[in-house]
Amino acid sequence: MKNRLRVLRAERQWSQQDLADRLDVSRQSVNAIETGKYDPSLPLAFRIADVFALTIEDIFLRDPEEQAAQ
Amino acid sequence: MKSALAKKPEARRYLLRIATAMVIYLGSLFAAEILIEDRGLSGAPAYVLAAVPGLSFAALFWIFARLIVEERDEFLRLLYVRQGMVATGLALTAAAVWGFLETYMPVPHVEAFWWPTIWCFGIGVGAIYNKVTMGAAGECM
Repeated sequence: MKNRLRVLRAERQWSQQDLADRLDVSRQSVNAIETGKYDPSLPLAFRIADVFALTIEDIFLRDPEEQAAQ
Repeated sequence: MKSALAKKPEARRYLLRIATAMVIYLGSLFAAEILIEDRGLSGAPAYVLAAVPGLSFAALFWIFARLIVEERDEFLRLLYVRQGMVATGLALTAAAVWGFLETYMPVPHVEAFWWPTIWCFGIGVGAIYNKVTMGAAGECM
């Protein structure tokens, strides 16, 4: 699953650690989500959306291949 | 730089529990060497004392399970589970392969307490596997 986390974080000039502190997770978690190595659970996705004051759909995007398969 | 593991309460509990289990393990091993090997302790007390170092490994598995349960960060929890799976796979595979080698081939006997020791080594291998595939080691070594 693709996401806009890195862009949204850069817009706010937050480091990965800044975002991690706001989400109460490790910096490694933020890095893994940003790089697409890990997809967050729904509760964490909602927390991320709350931190950026956006909806989950504004942050996380379905892979085109995944969408085409459905 | 202080590790994130050392800062979190669940991680501090993990380290304290590991240290306690290691003290019990080394203490009971030392006691068994002196009392059973050197002084000839026998009977039920000797059996109990001889079992304690092995039971320390049960503590180790319980401690690892508690770390997974108590960890609040879901990504780190995933890394710990992956480490445990790598370690379990390595240790049980090594035990099975060596068991058959001992059955059919003239290889030296390996004491059974080495298999859980290999599991502990496997936790380290799991951390490397996590680092390579997920970009983070998991901090649990």
